Amino acid sequence: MKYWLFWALCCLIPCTASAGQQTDGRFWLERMVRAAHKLDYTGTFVFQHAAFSETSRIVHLVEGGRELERIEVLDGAPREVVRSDDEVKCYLPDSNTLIVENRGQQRSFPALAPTALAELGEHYVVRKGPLVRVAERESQAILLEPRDELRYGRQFWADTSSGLLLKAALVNERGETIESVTFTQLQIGGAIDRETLKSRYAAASHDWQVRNARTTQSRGEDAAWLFKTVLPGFSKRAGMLRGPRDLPRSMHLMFSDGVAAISVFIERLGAQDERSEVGMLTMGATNVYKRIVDDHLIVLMGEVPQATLKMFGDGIEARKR
Amino acid sequence: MKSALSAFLDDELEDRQQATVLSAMARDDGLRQAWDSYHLIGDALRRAPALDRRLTARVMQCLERDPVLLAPQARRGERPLRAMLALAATAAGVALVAWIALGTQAPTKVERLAQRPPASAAPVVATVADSRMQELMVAHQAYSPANRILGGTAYVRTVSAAAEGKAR
Repeated sequence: MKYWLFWALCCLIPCTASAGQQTDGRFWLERMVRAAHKLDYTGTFVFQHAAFSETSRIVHLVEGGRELERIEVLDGAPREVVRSDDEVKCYLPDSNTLIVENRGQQRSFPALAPTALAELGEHYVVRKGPLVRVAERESQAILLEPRDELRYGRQFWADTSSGLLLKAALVNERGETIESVTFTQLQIGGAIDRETLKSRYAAASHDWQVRNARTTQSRGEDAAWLFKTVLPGFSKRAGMLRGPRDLPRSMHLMFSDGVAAISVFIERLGAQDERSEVGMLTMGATNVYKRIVDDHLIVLMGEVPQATLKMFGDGIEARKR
Repeated sequence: MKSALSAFLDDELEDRQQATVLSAMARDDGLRQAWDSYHLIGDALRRAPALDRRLTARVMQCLERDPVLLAPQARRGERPLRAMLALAATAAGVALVAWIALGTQAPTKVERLAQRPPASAAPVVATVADSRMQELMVAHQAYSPANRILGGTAYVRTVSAAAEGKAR
Protein backbone atom coordinates (compact mmCIF):
# COMPACT_ATOMS: atom_id res chain seq x y z
CA MET A 1 0.00 0.00 0.00
CA LYS A 2 2.79 2.36 0.96
CA TYR A 3 4.71 1.45 -2.20
CA TRP A 4 1.65 2.21 -4.27
CA LEU A 5 1.39 5.63 -2.70
CA PHE A 6 5.09 6.25 -3.29
CA TRP A 7 4.85 5.43 -7.00
CA ALA A 8 1.70 7.42 -7.37
CA LEU A 9 3.46 10.44 -5.89
CA CYS A 10 6.47 9.91 -8.14
CA CYS A 11 4.19 10.01 -11.17
CA LEU A 12 2.55 13.16 -9.94
CA ILE A 13 5.73 15.17 -9.45
CA PRO A 14 6.50 15.89 -13.12
CA CYS A 15 2.85 16.89 -13.68
CA THR A 16 2.80 19.32 -10.79
CA ALA A 17 6.12 20.78 -11.89
CA SER A 18 4.80 21.85 -15.31
CA ALA A 19 1.44 22.80 -13.88
CA GLY A 20 3.39 24.82 -11.30
CA GLN A 21 5.14 26.69 -14.11
CA GLN A 22 1.76 27.51 -15.64
CA THR A 23 0.27 28.67 -12.34
CA ASP A 24 3.37 30.70 -11.61
CA GLY A 25 3.15 32.36 -15.00
CA ARG A 26 -0.53 33.09 -14.48
CA PHE A 27 0.15 34.53 -11.04
CA TRP A 28 2.58 36.97 -12.64
CA LEU A 29 0.18 37.90 -15.43
CA GLU A 30 -2.55 38.65 -12.90
CA ARG A 31 -0.10 40.68 -10.88
CA MET A 32 0.84 42.67 -13.99
CA VAL A 33 -2.81 43.39 -14.81
CA ARG A 34 -3.40 44.68 -11.28
CA ALA A 35 -0.23 46.80 -11.25
CA ALA A 36 -0.98 48.36 -14.66
CA HIS A 37 -4.33 49.67 -13.42
CA LYS A 38 -3.71 50.42 -9.75
CA LEU A 39 -0.32 52.09 -9.61
CA ASP A 40 0.72 55.68 -10.16
CA TYR A 41 3.74 55.87 -12.37
CA THR A 42 5.59 57.98 -14.87
CA GLY A 43 8.27 56.86 -17.29
CA THR A 44 9.84 56.87 -20.72
CA PHE A 45 9.57 53.94 -23.11
CA VAL A 46 10.77 53.02 -26.57
CA PHE A 47 8.32 51.52 -29.06
CA GLN A 48 9.96 49.51 -31.79
CA HIS A 49 8.64 47.86 -34.95
CA ALA A 50 11.05 46.55 -37.60
CA ALA A 51 13.51 49.41 -38.21
CA PHE A 52 11.09 51.99 -36.81
CA SER A 53 11.45 53.18 -33.26
CA GLU A 54 10.02 56.02 -31.25
CA THR A 55 10.36 57.24 -27.68
CA SER A 56 7.32 58.27 -25.62
CA ARG A 57 6.59 59.51 -22.15
CA ILE A 58 3.74 58.03 -20.11
CA VAL A 59 2.05 59.36 -16.98
CA HIS A 60 -0.49 57.14 -15.20
CA LEU A 61 -2.47 58.28 -12.18
CA VAL A 62 -5.30 56.62 -10.26
CA GLU A 63 -7.54 59.19 -8.63
CA GLY A 64 -10.70 58.28 -6.75
CA GLY A 65 -10.83 54.95 -8.56
CA ARG A 66 -10.47 56.63 -11.97
CA GLU A 67 -7.54 55.93 -14.22
CA LEU A 68 -5.99 58.95 -15.89
CA GLU A 69 -3.22 58.59 -18.40
CA ARG A 70 -1.30 60.56 -20.95
CA ILE A 71 1.20 59.34 -23.51
CA GLU A 72 3.22 61.82 -25.51
CA VAL A 73 5.48 60.81 -28.38
CA LEU A 74 8.81 62.58 -27.95
CA ASP A 75 10.12 62.02 -31.49
CA GLY A 76 8.72 63.56 -34.65
CA ALA A 77 5.34 65.23 -34.51
CA PRO A 78 4.28 65.34 -30.84
CA ARG A 79 1.27 63.03 -31.01
CA GLU A 80 -0.67 62.29 -27.84
CA VAL A 81 -2.98 59.74 -26.33
CA VAL A 82 -5.00 60.96 -23.35
CA ARG A 83 -7.11 58.41 -21.52
CA SER A 84 -9.61 58.89 -18.77
CA ASP A 85 -10.94 55.50 -17.69
CA ASP A 86 -12.74 54.19 -20.76
CA GLU A 87 -12.41 57.28 -22.92
CA VAL A 88 -9.41 57.41 -25.23
CA LYS A 89 -8.44 60.55 -27.16
CA CYS A 90 -5.73 60.45 -29.83
CA TYR A 91 -4.37 63.81 -30.93
CA LEU A 92 -2.74 63.77 -34.36
CA PRO A 93 -1.44 67.32 -34.93
CA ASP A 94 -0.03 66.47 -38.38
CA SER A 95 -3.49 66.00 -39.80
CA ASN A 96 -5.30 68.17 -37.22
CA THR A 97 -7.33 65.14 -36.26
CA LEU A 98 -8.71 64.09 -32.92
CA ILE A 99 -9.92 60.49 -32.63
CA VAL A 100 -12.17 59.76 -29.67
CA GLU A 101 -13.15 56.26 -28.59
CA ASN A 102 -15.43 55.69 -25.65
CA ARG A 103 -16.17 52.21 -24.48
CA GLY A 104 -18.39 53.33 -21.64
CA GLN A 105 -21.20 51.09 -22.88
CA GLN A 106 -18.98 48.08 -22.53
CA ARG A 107 -17.93 48.37 -18.93
CA SER A 108 -18.65 44.71 -18.44
CA PHE A 109 -16.00 43.94 -21.02
CA PRO A 110 -14.26 40.82 -19.73
CA ALA A 111 -10.96 41.74 -18.19
CA LEU A 112 -8.21 39.20 -17.97
CA ALA A 113 -10.17 37.37 -15.32
CA PRO A 114 -8.61 34.28 -13.72
CA THR A 115 -10.84 32.12 -15.91
CA ALA A 116 -9.53 33.85 -19.01
CA LEU A 117 -6.00 33.20 -17.83
CA ALA A 118 -6.78 29.54 -17.23
CA GLU A 119 -7.91 29.28 -20.86
CA LEU A 120 -4.58 30.69 -21.95
CA GLY A 121 -2.87 27.45 -21.06
CA GLU A 122 -4.79 25.63 -23.78
CA HIS A 123 -3.27 27.72 -26.54
CA TYR A 124 -0.02 28.95 -25.05
CA VAL A 125 2.71 27.39 -22.98
CA VAL A 126 3.05 29.91 -20.15
CA ARG A 127 6.53 29.86 -18.64
CA LYS A 128 8.54 31.86 -16.20
CA GLY A 129 11.75 33.04 -17.81
CA PRO A 130 14.94 34.39 -16.26
CA LEU A 131 15.37 37.47 -14.09
CA VAL A 132 16.59 40.36 -16.23
CA ARG A 133 17.54 43.96 -15.50
CA VAL A 134 15.40 46.50 -17.37
CA ALA A 135 15.35 50.28 -16.72
CA GLU A 136 17.57 49.84 -13.67
CA ARG A 137 15.12 47.38 -12.14
CA GLU A 138 15.04 43.64 -11.67
CA SER A 139 12.35 42.05 -13.82
CA GLN A 140 10.79 38.62 -14.13
CA ALA A 141 10.34 37.38 -17.70
CA ILE A 142 7.04 35.64 -18.50
CA LEU A 143 6.92 33.80 -21.81
CA LEU A 144 3.79 32.83 -23.71
CA GLU A 145 4.69 30.39 -26.45
CA PRO A 146 1.84 29.62 -28.85
CA ARG A 147 0.87 25.96 -29.21
CA ASP A 148 -0.04 26.50 -32.88
CA GLU A 149 0.73 28.88 -35.74
CA LEU A 150 -2.51 30.82 -35.44
CA ARG A 151 -1.12 33.30 -32.93
CA TYR A 152 2.06 35.13 -32.09
CA GLY A 153 4.17 34.52 -29.03
CA ARG A 154 4.35 37.10 -26.27
CA GLN A 155 7.05 37.99 -23.82
CA PHE A 156 6.53 40.18 -20.79
CA TRP A 157 9.02 41.46 -18.28
CA ALA A 158 7.48 42.48 -14.94
CA ASP A 159 9.11 44.59 -12.25
CA THR A 160 9.72 42.06 -9.44
CA SER A 161 8.90 44.55 -6.69
CA SER A 162 5.69 46.10 -8.11
CA GLY A 163 4.57 43.78 -10.92
CA LEU A 164 4.49 46.67 -13.39
CA LEU A 165 5.33 45.93 -17.02
CA LEU A 166 8.87 47.01 -17.92
CA LYS A 167 9.14 45.44 -21.34
CA ALA A 168 6.93 43.51 -23.76
CA ALA A 169 7.60 41.81 -27.08
CA LEU A 170 5.53 40.24 -29.84
CA VAL A 171 7.22 37.22 -31.43
CA ASN A 172 6.33 35.82 -34.85
CA GLU A 173 6.16 32.23 -36.06
CA ARG A 174 9.89 32.25 -36.82
CA GLY A 175 10.80 33.36 -33.30
CA GLU A 176 11.67 36.90 -34.40
CA THR A 177 10.61 39.89 -32.31
CA ILE A 178 8.34 41.99 -34.51
CA GLU A 179 7.33 44.63 -32.03
CA SER A 180 8.50 45.69 -28.61
CA VAL A 181 7.91 48.24 -25.90
CA THR A 182 10.75 48.85 -23.44
CA PHE A 183 10.87 51.27 -20.54
CA THR A 184 14.16 53.11 -20.29
CA GLN A 185 13.19 55.03 -17.15
CA LEU A 186 10.37 54.49 -14.69
CA GLN A 187 9.26 56.11 -11.47
CA ILE A 188 6.60 54.31 -9.46
CA GLY A 189 4.57 56.29 -6.92
CA GLY A 190 5.80 59.62 -5.64
CA ALA A 191 4.32 62.99 -6.48
CA ILE A 192 2.89 63.30 -9.99
CA ASP A 193 2.07 66.77 -11.25
CA ARG A 194 -1.55 66.75 -12.45
CA GLU A 195 -0.59 69.27 -15.14
CA THR A 196 1.37 66.55 -16.90
CA LEU A 197 -1.92 64.75 -17.61
CA LYS A 198 -3.35 67.60 -19.65
CA SER A 199 -3.16 67.54 -23.40
CA ARG A 200 -1.02 70.26 -24.93
CA TYR A 201 -3.60 70.40 -27.72
CA ALA A 202 -6.64 70.83 -25.47
CA ALA A 203 -7.05 74.42 -26.70
CA ALA A 204 -5.64 74.12 -30.21
CA SER A 205 -7.76 71.11 -31.13
CA HIS A 206 -11.06 73.04 -31.11
CA ASP A 207 -11.08 73.47 -34.86
CA TRP A 208 -9.63 70.04 -35.59
CA GLN A 209 -11.47 67.30 -37.39
CA VAL A 210 -13.02 65.13 -34.68
CA ARG A 211 -13.70 61.47 -35.34
CA ASN A 212 -15.90 60.24 -32.59
CA ALA A 213 -17.93 57.15 -33.35
CA ARG A 214 -20.33 56.69 -30.47
CA THR A 215 -20.67 53.03 -29.74
CA THR A 216 -23.62 51.11 -28.41
CA GLN A 217 -23.83 47.48 -27.49
CA SER A 218 -24.82 45.33 -30.45
CA ARG A 219 -28.24 43.72 -30.17
CA GLY A 220 -27.49 40.60 -32.11
CA GLU A 221 -26.98 42.33 -35.47
CA ASP A 222 -24.05 40.04 -36.10
CA ALA A 223 -26.53 37.20 -36.58
CA ALA A 224 -26.76 38.39 -40.18
CA TRP A 225 -23.23 37.13 -40.70
CA LEU A 226 -21.73 33.67 -40.72
CA PHE A 227 -18.23 33.04 -39.43
CA LYS A 228 -17.40 29.78 -41.13
CA THR A 229 -13.79 29.57 -40.02
CA VAL A 230 -13.45 28.51 -36.41
CA LEU A 231 -10.11 29.57 -34.99
CA PRO A 232 -9.38 27.34 -31.98
CA GLY A 233 -9.47 29.38 -28.79
CA PHE A 234 -10.86 32.53 -30.39
CA SER A 235 -14.35 33.43 -29.30
CA LYS A 236 -16.48 36.54 -29.59
CA ARG A 237 -15.86 38.76 -26.56
CA ALA A 238 -17.69 41.94 -27.49
CA GLY A 239 -20.05 43.33 -30.12
CA MET A 240 -20.62 47.04 -30.72
CA LEU A 241 -22.43 49.26 -33.17
CA ARG A 242 -20.48 52.33 -34.21
CA GLY A 243 -22.19 55.57 -35.15
CA PRO A 244 -25.60 57.10 -34.42
CA ARG A 245 -27.97 54.77 -32.61
CA ASP A 246 -30.70 54.95 -35.26
CA LEU A 247 -28.29 54.60 -38.18
CA PRO A 248 -25.11 52.86 -37.09
CA ARG A 249 -22.37 53.13 -39.63
CA SER A 250 -20.62 49.89 -38.81
CA MET A 251 -20.46 46.90 -36.53
CA HIS A 252 -17.40 46.02 -34.49
CA LEU A 253 -16.94 42.48 -33.22
CA MET A 254 -14.00 41.50 -31.07
CA PHE A 255 -12.70 37.93 -31.10
CA SER A 256 -9.96 36.87 -28.73
CA ASP A 257 -8.16 33.91 -27.21
CA GLY A 258 -7.54 35.89 -24.02
CA VAL A 259 -4.44 37.70 -25.27
CA ALA A 260 -4.47 37.94 -29.06
CA ALA A 261 -7.33 39.97 -30.47
CA ILE A 262 -9.01 40.15 -33.86
CA SER A 263 -11.38 43.02 -34.55
CA VAL A 264 -13.93 42.58 -37.32
CA PHE A 265 -15.53 45.77 -38.67
CA ILE A 266 -18.44 45.36 -41.07
CA GLU A 267 -20.04 48.30 -42.84
CA ARG A 268 -22.32 48.79 -45.79
CA LEU A 269 -20.61 50.36 -48.77
CA GLY A 270 -22.10 53.53 -50.16
CA ALA A 271 -22.21 54.21 -53.91
CA GLN A 272 -19.22 56.57 -53.77
CA ASP A 273 -17.12 54.53 -51.34
CA GLU A 274 -13.70 53.38 -52.34
CA ARG A 275 -13.89 49.81 -53.53
CA SER A 276 -10.46 49.13 -54.97
CA GLU A 277 -8.54 49.07 -51.73
CA VAL A 278 -8.85 45.47 -50.63
CA GLY A 279 -6.35 42.85 -49.57
CA MET A 280 -3.72 42.59 -46.88
CA LEU A 281 -2.18 45.69 -45.35
CA THR A 282 -0.07 46.29 -42.30
CA MET A 283 -0.10 49.07 -39.73
CA GLY A 284 2.99 48.50 -37.67
CA ALA A 285 2.80 44.97 -36.26
CA THR A 286 -0.96 44.99 -36.67
CA ASN A 287 -2.15 43.17 -39.76
CA VAL A 288 -5.19 44.43 -41.62
CA TYR A 289 -7.25 42.43 -44.11
CA LYS A 290 -9.99 44.05 -46.17
CA ARG A 291 -12.64 42.22 -48.15
CA ILE A 292 -15.85 43.17 -49.87
CA VAL A 293 -18.74 40.78 -49.32
CA ASP A 294 -22.26 41.46 -50.56
CA ASP A 295 -21.86 45.26 -50.77
CA HIS A 296 -20.24 45.37 -47.35
CA LEU A 297 -16.68 46.25 -46.53
CA ILE A 298 -15.17 43.88 -44.00
CA VAL A 299 -12.02 45.03 -42.21
CA LEU A 300 -10.16 42.59 -39.98
CA MET A 301 -7.46 43.88 -37.71
CA GLY A 302 -5.24 42.02 -35.31
CA GLU A 303 -1.83 41.29 -33.88
CA VAL A 304 -1.96 37.80 -35.36
CA PRO A 305 -0.18 36.20 -38.35
CA GLN A 306 -1.51 37.28 -41.76
CA ALA A 307 -2.51 33.70 -42.53
CA THR A 308 -4.77 33.62 -39.45
CA LEU A 309 -6.43 36.87 -40.41
CA LYS A 310 -6.96 35.74 -43.99
CA MET A 311 -8.37 32.37 -42.96
CA PHE A 312 -10.80 33.99 -40.57
CA GLY A 313 -11.75 36.77 -42.97
CA ASP A 314 -12.32 34.48 -45.93
CA GLY A 315 -14.78 32.49 -43.82
CA ILE A 316 -17.11 35.46 -43.30
CA GLU A 317 -20.33 35.27 -45.31
CA ALA A 318 -23.63 37.06 -45.32
CA ARG A 319 -26.34 34.75 -44.02
CA LYS A 320 -28.95 33.94 -46.66
CA ARG A 321 -32.37 35.12 -45.68
CA MET B 1 3.10 51.92 -71.45
CA LYS B 2 5.60 50.21 -69.16
CA SER B 3 6.62 53.51 -67.59
CA ALA B 4 2.94 54.21 -66.92
CA LEU B 5 2.72 50.78 -65.32
CA SER B 6 5.63 51.61 -63.06
CA ALA B 7 4.04 54.94 -62.11
CA PHE B 8 0.79 53.11 -61.36
CA LEU B 9 2.67 50.77 -59.06
CA ASP B 10 4.09 53.74 -57.21
CA ASP B 11 0.62 55.18 -56.87
CA GLU B 12 1.57 58.20 -58.93
CA LEU B 13 -1.20 58.00 -61.55
CA GLU B 14 -4.46 59.86 -61.56
CA ASP B 15 -7.69 57.88 -61.61
CA ARG B 16 -8.22 58.47 -65.33
CA GLN B 17 -4.72 57.29 -66.21
CA GLN B 18 -5.14 54.28 -63.94
CA ALA B 19 -8.21 53.24 -65.89
CA THR B 20 -6.24 53.48 -69.15
CA VAL B 21 -3.46 51.30 -67.80
CA LEU B 22 -5.94 48.78 -66.42
CA SER B 23 -7.76 48.40 -69.70
CA ALA B 24 -4.45 48.09 -71.54
CA MET B 25 -3.48 45.33 -69.11
CA ALA B 26 -6.71 43.52 -69.73
CA ARG B 27 -5.83 43.36 -73.43
CA ASP B 28 -2.09 42.80 -73.28
CA ASP B 29 -0.61 39.60 -71.86
CA GLY B 30 2.88 41.05 -71.85
CA LEU B 31 1.79 44.01 -69.76
CA ARG B 32 0.17 41.72 -67.23
CA GLN B 33 3.39 39.75 -66.98
CA ALA B 34 5.36 42.97 -66.53
CA TRP B 35 2.95 43.99 -63.78
CA ASP B 36 3.54 40.68 -62.00
CA SER B 37 7.28 40.98 -62.41
CA TYR B 38 7.33 44.54 -61.06
CA HIS B 39 5.45 43.37 -58.00
CA LEU B 40 7.84 40.51 -57.52
CA ILE B 41 10.78 42.90 -57.69
CA GLY B 42 8.99 45.25 -55.28
CA ASP B 43 8.42 42.38 -52.87
CA ALA B 44 12.04 41.37 -53.05
CA LEU B 45 13.15 44.95 -52.46
CA ARG B 46 10.88 45.19 -49.46
CA ARG B 47 12.20 41.81 -48.43
CA ALA B 48 8.64 40.64 -47.96
CA PRO B 49 8.77 37.36 -46.05
CA ALA B 50 5.97 35.71 -48.04
CA LEU B 51 8.11 35.84 -51.17
CA ASP B 52 10.77 33.79 -49.54
CA ARG B 53 8.44 31.16 -48.13
CA ARG B 54 6.28 30.54 -51.14
CA LEU B 55 8.99 30.68 -53.70
CA THR B 56 11.22 28.27 -51.83
CA ALA B 57 8.38 25.81 -51.39
CA ARG B 58 7.49 26.07 -55.05
CA VAL B 59 11.06 25.68 -56.18
CA MET B 60 11.47 22.59 -53.99
CA GLN B 61 8.23 21.17 -55.34
CA CYS B 62 9.34 21.76 -58.90
CA LEU B 63 12.74 20.26 -58.28
CA GLU B 64 11.13 17.13 -56.90
CA ARG B 65 8.86 16.82 -59.90
CA ASP B 66 11.61 17.65 -62.35
CA PRO B 67 13.06 14.49 -63.84
CA VAL B 68 16.70 14.42 -64.82
CA LEU B 69 16.76 15.91 -68.29
CA LEU B 70 18.28 13.37 -70.65
CA ALA B 71 17.17 14.80 -73.94
CA PRO B 72 17.01 18.50 -74.68
CA GLN B 73 13.35 19.33 -75.06
CA ALA B 74 11.22 22.38 -74.63
CA ARG B 75 9.45 22.27 -71.24
CA ARG B 76 6.68 24.75 -71.65
CA GLY B 77 5.05 24.26 -68.28
CA GLU B 78 8.00 25.40 -66.25
CA ARG B 79 9.06 28.41 -68.24
CA PRO B 80 7.27 31.05 -66.20
CA LEU B 81 8.78 29.72 -63.02
CA ARG B 82 12.27 29.76 -64.48
CA ALA B 83 11.79 33.28 -65.69
CA MET B 84 10.60 34.15 -62.22
CA LEU B 85 13.61 32.53 -60.62
CA ALA B 86 15.97 34.47 -62.81
CA LEU B 87 14.06 37.60 -61.96
CA ALA B 88 14.08 36.86 -58.27
CA ALA B 89 17.81 36.30 -58.38
CA THR B 90 18.28 39.63 -60.13
CA ALA B 91 15.92 41.31 -57.72
CA ALA B 92 17.86 39.89 -54.78
CA GLY B 93 21.00 41.46 -56.20
CA VAL B 94 19.21 44.75 -56.69
CA ALA B 95 17.88 44.52 -53.16
CA LEU B 96 21.38 44.12 -51.80
CA VAL B 97 22.68 47.10 -53.76
CA ALA B 98 19.66 49.15 -52.71
CA TRP B 99 20.25 48.17 -49.12
CA ILE B 100 23.84 49.37 -49.24
CA ALA B 101 22.98 52.50 -51.21
CA LEU B 102 20.00 53.59 -49.18
CA GLY B 103 21.24 52.50 -45.80
CA THR B 104 18.62 52.26 -43.10
CA GLN B 105 15.68 53.91 -44.71
CA ALA B 106 12.48 54.17 -42.78
CA PRO B 107 10.08 51.31 -43.42
CA THR B 108 6.84 51.78 -45.26
CA LYS B 109 3.75 51.50 -43.18
CA VAL B 110 1.63 49.62 -45.61
CA GLU B 111 3.19 46.81 -47.50
CA ARG B 112 1.39 44.80 -50.05
CA LEU B 113 1.10 41.16 -49.16
CA ALA B 114 3.65 39.49 -51.36
CA GLN B 115 1.10 37.73 -53.39
CA ARG B 116 0.68 38.02 -57.12
CA PRO B 117 -2.80 39.30 -57.80
CA PRO B 118 -4.95 36.91 -59.76
CA ALA B 119 -5.23 38.13 -63.36
CA SER B 120 -8.99 38.50 -63.11
CA ALA B 121 -9.16 40.58 -59.95
CA ALA B 122 -8.24 44.24 -59.72
CA PRO B 123 -4.62 44.55 -58.61
CA VAL B 124 -4.00 45.28 -54.98
CA VAL B 125 -2.33 48.64 -54.67
CA ALA B 126 -0.32 49.64 -51.65
CA THR B 127 -1.81 52.55 -49.80
CA VAL B 128 -1.12 54.52 -46.68
CA ALA B 129 -3.67 54.01 -43.98
CA ASP B 130 -6.12 56.86 -43.90
CA SER B 131 -7.66 58.45 -40.86
CA ARG B 132 -10.58 56.06 -41.11
CA MET B 133 -8.19 53.15 -40.62
CA GLN B 134 -6.60 54.99 -37.73
CA GLU B 135 -10.00 55.37 -36.14
CA LEU B 136 -10.61 51.62 -36.44
CA MET B 137 -7.15 51.03 -35.01
CA VAL B 138 -8.03 53.04 -31.89
CA ALA B 139 -11.28 51.05 -31.52
CA HIS B 140 -9.35 47.81 -31.94
CA GLN B 141 -6.79 48.76 -29.30
CA ALA B 142 -9.48 49.95 -26.88
CA TYR B 143 -10.99 46.46 -26.72
CA SER B 144 -7.83 44.39 -27.03
CA PRO B 145 -7.45 42.17 -23.94
CA ALA B 146 -3.64 42.18 -24.06
CA ASN B 147 -3.83 45.85 -23.16
CA ARG B 148 -4.89 44.83 -19.67
CA ILE B 149 -1.29 43.73 -19.26
CA LEU B 150 0.38 46.28 -21.51
CA GLY B 151 -1.41 49.23 -19.90
CA GLY B 152 -1.25 52.50 -21.79
CA THR B 153 1.85 51.59 -23.76
CA ALA B 154 -0.27 49.64 -26.24
CA TYR B 155 -2.06 52.81 -27.31
CA VAL B 156 1.16 54.13 -28.74
CA ARG B 157 0.46 51.81 -31.68
CA THR B 158 -2.44 54.01 -32.67
CA VAL B 159 -0.34 57.17 -33.00
CA SER B 160 2.89 55.51 -34.09
CA ALA B 161 1.26 53.94 -37.12
CA ALA B 162 0.63 57.49 -38.31
CA ALA B 163 4.29 58.45 -38.08
CA GLU B 164 5.51 55.22 -39.57
CA GLY B 165 3.44 55.91 -42.66
CA LYS B 166 4.76 59.45 -43.05
CA ALA B 167 8.35 58.28 -42.82
CA ARG B 168 7.92 56.56 -46.14
